[in-house]
Order: sequence, then C-alpha cells, then structure tokens
Amino acid sequence: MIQLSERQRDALAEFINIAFGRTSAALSDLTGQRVVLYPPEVSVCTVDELYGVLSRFIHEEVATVHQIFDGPMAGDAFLVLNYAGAVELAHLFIEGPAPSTLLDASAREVLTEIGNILLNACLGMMGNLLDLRITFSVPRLRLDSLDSLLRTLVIGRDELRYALVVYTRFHLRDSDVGGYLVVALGVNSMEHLIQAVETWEVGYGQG
Amino acid sequence: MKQALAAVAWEQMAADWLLREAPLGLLITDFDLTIVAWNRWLETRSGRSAAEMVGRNLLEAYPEIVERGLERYYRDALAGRVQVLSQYFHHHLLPMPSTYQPGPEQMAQTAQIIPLTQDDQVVGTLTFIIDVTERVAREQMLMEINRRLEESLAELQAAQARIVQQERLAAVGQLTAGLAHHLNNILAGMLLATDLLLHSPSLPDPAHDRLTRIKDLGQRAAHLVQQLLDFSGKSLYRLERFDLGLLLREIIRDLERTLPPLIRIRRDIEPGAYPIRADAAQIRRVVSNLIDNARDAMPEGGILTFRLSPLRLRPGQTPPLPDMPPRLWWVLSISDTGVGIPPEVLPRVFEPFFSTKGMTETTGLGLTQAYGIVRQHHGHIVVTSQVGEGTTVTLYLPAAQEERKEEEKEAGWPCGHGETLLLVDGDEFLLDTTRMLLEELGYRVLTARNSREALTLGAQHGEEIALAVIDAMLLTADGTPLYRTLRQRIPGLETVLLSHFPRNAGLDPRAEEGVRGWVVKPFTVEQLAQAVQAALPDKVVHGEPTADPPRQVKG
Repeated sequence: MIQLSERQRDALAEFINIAFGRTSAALSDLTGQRVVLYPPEVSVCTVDELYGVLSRFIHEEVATVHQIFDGPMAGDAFLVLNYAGAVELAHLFIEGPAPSTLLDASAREVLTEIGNILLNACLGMMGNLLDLRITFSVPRLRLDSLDSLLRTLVIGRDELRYALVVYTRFHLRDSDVGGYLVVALGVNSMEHLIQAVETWEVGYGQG
Repeated sequence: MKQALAAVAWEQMAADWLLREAPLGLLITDFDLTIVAWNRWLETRSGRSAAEMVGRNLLEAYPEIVERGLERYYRDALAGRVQVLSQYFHHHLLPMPSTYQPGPEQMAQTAQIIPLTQDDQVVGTLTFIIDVTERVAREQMLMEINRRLEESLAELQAAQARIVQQERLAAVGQLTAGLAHHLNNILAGMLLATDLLLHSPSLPDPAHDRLTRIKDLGQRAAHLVQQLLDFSGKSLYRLERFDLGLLLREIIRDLERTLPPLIRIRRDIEPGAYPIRADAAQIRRVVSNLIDNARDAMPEGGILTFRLSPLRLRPGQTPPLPDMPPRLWWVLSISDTGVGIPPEVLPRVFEPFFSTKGMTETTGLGLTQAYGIVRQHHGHIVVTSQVGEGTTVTLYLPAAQEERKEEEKEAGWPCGHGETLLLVDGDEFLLDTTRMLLEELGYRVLTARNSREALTLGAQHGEEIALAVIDAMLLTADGTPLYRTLRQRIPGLETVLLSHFPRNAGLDPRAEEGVRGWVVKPFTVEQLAQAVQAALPDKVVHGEPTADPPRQVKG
C-alpha cells in the first residue's frame, strides 16, 4: 500500500505546479485572458478507492478529457470535471452569447484542447523526469457517470493500480471552476514516479 | 511470411483508400515537415495537387502557419505529444475556401496533429483536418434560436406574473370598493353630525376643540377612503381634454420650488403636443404620488428624471405590455436614483397598504391609487427597479386621438381664419407651445416675451392685431398692467388674459374695458380655443382653418 509522506506530497505538488504553470501560460497565450491554475492538492489512492475520493466533490454526470499513454510507463490520464463545471469552464473560455446549459460540439472541442494542453504538460514532464518516452493517444472528451468512467479503469487490468489525484481550480474572468487531474498507473510505475519526484525535489530545492 | 505480406497488403489498401476517399484532410510529413502524403480531400479543398505538394516543406508551402504561431504545435508533435486544435481557438489550420453555402468564405477546421513513431522515435507527423464550417454555422443558428426562445419564455413568464398580479388586484379592488362604499356612508354621517355640533352656539370651548379634532380625523379617513375608491376604479371622474406635456411641465415647475436641494431634476420631454382625455386632477394626483415615492426613496438626494414621449403602436407590432392595443400612446416615466425595491417585493407594490417605508397611516396607498387611476383611464402602469440603483415607474396613457392634428380639428374646436393675434407671456416654453397651438387652430400669431417687446410689436402691427392674448401679471415700466397700456396705444384692442388665478384680489378683470376673456393656467386646448374665438369681435367659426388673409379689424 502506497502512503505518501508529507515530503513526497509536497514534492509531487511542486512538480505538478510547474506543469500547471506551463499550462496556465499556454492557455493565457491561447485566449488572450489571464488564466491561473491554483496550486494543486495532491493525493494518491488505489483505483478502487478513487470513486470514494472523487464522489466527495463530483456527484453527477462527469465530463472527462481522457488520454491513454503508453510506453515504459503506461496508464490513463484524465481531466475530470462535473458536467456543470465543464459547461462553465467552456463558457469562460468562449466569449460570446449567454452560456447555455449544454455542451455543443464547439464547446466540447474547446474542453478537449484545454485538457490536452494540461495532460500534455503533466505527462510530458513526467516522461522527461523519468527519462522515458511516453506515447499519447488522441484525447477524447467523454460524458459519463463517474461510476462508469471508473469502471473502464479496472476492466482488463489485473495489476494493482494507483491513481495520482490532483485537485485544482481554473481561474479566469473573475470565476473559478474546480476539477481533478487523475493519472492512473500500475503500482511499480507509481512508486517509481514518486521516488523520482522526491529525488527531483531535492535537486530542484538545491538548484 | 504469406500472412505478413497479406497484412502489409491490407494496410496498403487501407492507406490508399484513406488517401483517396477519406472525408477529411490527411497530411503526412517527415521529421523535417516535408510533406510526404497529401490526400484527395486536401487536393480538392485547397486547390493544390498532391504532385505539387509532396516534397515541399509544409511551413514554406503555408507560411501562414508560422505567421499565426501554429508551428509550435508541430514542434510539440515532433516531441511526441498529440496536438488538438479546436475550431474556436484557431478557426483553421490550413487556409481553404469554404464549400458550405450560404456561409463564410473561409473553411472552419478542427485539427489533430499526431506524432508518427518508429522504434520509439518520432519520425514524422500525421495531421487530420475536419471541415466544421456547416456545423459551426448550425450551432450559431441554434444558439440564436435558443436565445430567442429564452427571451420568449421570459416574456411569457412576465406576462403570467402580470396576469396573476392583475387578478389579485382586481379581487382586492372589489373588496376595497365595497368596504370604501360603506365607510363613506358612515363617515358622511359622522362628519355631518360633527359639523352640526360645531355650529351649536352653546358648545363649550373644550368640546369644540375635541370635535374639531374628530372632524380632522374624519376628513383624513375620508381621504383614505377616496384613495381606496380611486384604486378600485369606482371614483367619479371628470374627463376633459388637456395637454399632458403642459400639465407635466407645470408640475415640474411647481416641484422645483419645493424639492430639497439635494434632489436634482432632469426632464426629457419630446417636443410636440400630448392631447389626452382624462381627469386632469386625477392624473396630477398620480404624478404627485410618484414624485412623493421617488423623494422618499432618495433621503440622501439624487436625480429625479421625467420622461415623456409618444409611442405609436401599429397593428402587428409587439407592444411593451401584452394587453396594449395598437394606437397612439403617451409614455410618461418618473425615475429616481434611490434605494430601489427588492425583487420579491416588486410584484406587490400596487396592493393597498403594502409599503416598504414602514406601516404608517400616510403611506402605502400612493402606488395603489396611481394604479387604479391609470387603469380607469385605460392606461397601464409598470414599475421596474434595481436595489441600490433606483426605480422607474412608467405610465402608458392613451392619446386623446389617433391623429392629433387632424382630429383636434375634427373634435370641433373653434378655429381661426388667419386672424392675427398678439401673444405675450414671460414663460418662453408656454409662449412657444401656445403659439404653436394657436397656429394649429388657424391663427397668425405674433409673440412677445415681455411688455417692451409687446409694445414694439403693437406699434409695428397695431392695425393687424385682431386680439391680444396676454399674461395678466405682465406690467409695463410704470407698473400699469400691460393689457391696459396696449389698449391705450391701440384703441379698441380686445384682450384675453391668461393667469394662474381665476380672480385677482377680488377684481374681476372681465369687468375691465377691453378684457373679453379669461383663461386659467393650466388651460386645455378647448378652453383657449373657445376663449379666443369668443373674444374675437365679429364671428365664431367652427371647422377647418383656411388660408384667408388676416382680418382687418381696425380702421
């Protein structure tokens, strides 16, 4: 059972925060608006525990940008928003008429691009840190219940899998929308990642 | 080996098909972004053939990619990361004309740039381009339809709320009318008995004082009952034709003298006549109640704005309120910059004794009375408010006639035949409005703003002037009333006097020589027309004015 020490949690938060900084810069550049991603709150749990962790904040249908990554480190990465949050986030990025309560195709594409930028930044940094070449699938936006989303993480997987759960909030145009970044990995990859980030933090802190 | 060859063959067939038939753009580059595949879809949409494009560097073939900063997506793809380009953020990756008609000239695209790898090394990129022009156009159309639907829904909900409010007010009005009727009878008896007692010579002084107090209270109760009757629409009205604009200006003028200095007045009155058939005293009461409310809403001062304008509703045109028939309306609004009314209170503001100012005996009936009076005049009243910003009460009152000018004549007001009138008044606005009105009635009008100008005009046009219409308060330099001096200078000149007072310190000017008429301000068109016509020495003419030359009345 992986238990994060305080130091590991801080190291992971710092690591992810750098990726978020890059994401914020890319999104600000793209939109011409100042976009901020608040410093993340990081935790690790088993995939089986994930429902309990996420359902504390997400009760309804979820909008998820899902990207599978492969290579020496393989897994699933998600940006998870509740549906209303996804609508709000899309409309914060899309300037225009009054927000509707539905995500049309354009809004879905916008969310997909935002998720892609975020997931690329985080997974790209992880790949660089571990000196591993990770290949990515094309990101997909899924509208699903939390339950059925999480079921896809366990089907056909025999190994014990862990999830790195990162909570953050997007801030732009004086509004905040909260969401989760979830990276699901096999136990060995997760332990390897935590170890590498901890080592990185020592070097980063000294550098 | 046979199977492997077959698999390659299948893959090649699939790749060939995709390059020929795929309903989207497929573009493959090597690591240097040299184009190695350019499918049929791209050929037909871009107008550039595969023969022309294959072998060319993508960024050189489309320098716009660099100019728009999109080459970094290719850079990131070459670093192994899939790139998604949404239509909303980028509109398109490669500029191409749109084939969707009617629509924009340029194709809207979404794109994905995917790294191609071999042995874990990126060797090139694969780009998918999807034409979303039609989809975006339909989304925008849908959004517009949705917006209109939401507007319609909001209007429907507002109409429903108004109907519920009107029904509730009608029910309360019916109850109020019955109650007020009975209370009136009781109060009439009480007041009469009190009056009788007060006139009793043997009444001791203390009893007299108490009875006077009882009478005061009874009269206040009677006033309240009158307000309730106004609300219920059971009051007796004396309909007359007058100009709403003139009445409003007069109310504002009086108000300017009494309003606290911290409250400023703005007026936005569109020029023109505003004939209305209504009970002037009641309309004045409505405006006065609204002013009282506005004043109370601005204890720290603010701006009180009066607006008056015409609204011609034509058949088929959407009215501001659902049950307003097509016709000419006068729109009178009074706005304050005060505390505002909370939204939960707004639907109840017309109900009797419903007040946000605290329950006292003097509050709670102002808007109620205004509502009843306006409804009885077949008008409409609407209150809009924002807490902290202020309140606007808008009245829609039916204009007296559809075609003001023509129908005023049809109404049979006595008209002139080109007679020359000398009109003198110190109030420039009133002078101008009265001049226009008299000209409409068929007179030729000379105007003067003071006694000096009047005497000068008298000297120049004395023989032409058939009648003088003069403000009774105007004096000449030696303190003589202007009309007397003019009469001395132009022998036989007849005058109609205009004044705020029907009698002046017991003097009846009609008894004065040469004074043929007397019109009390504010006057109606009818009153002025009749007074002028009656004062003209020879004839009274009804009907259309003519272009007859000025009548010579002085030899």
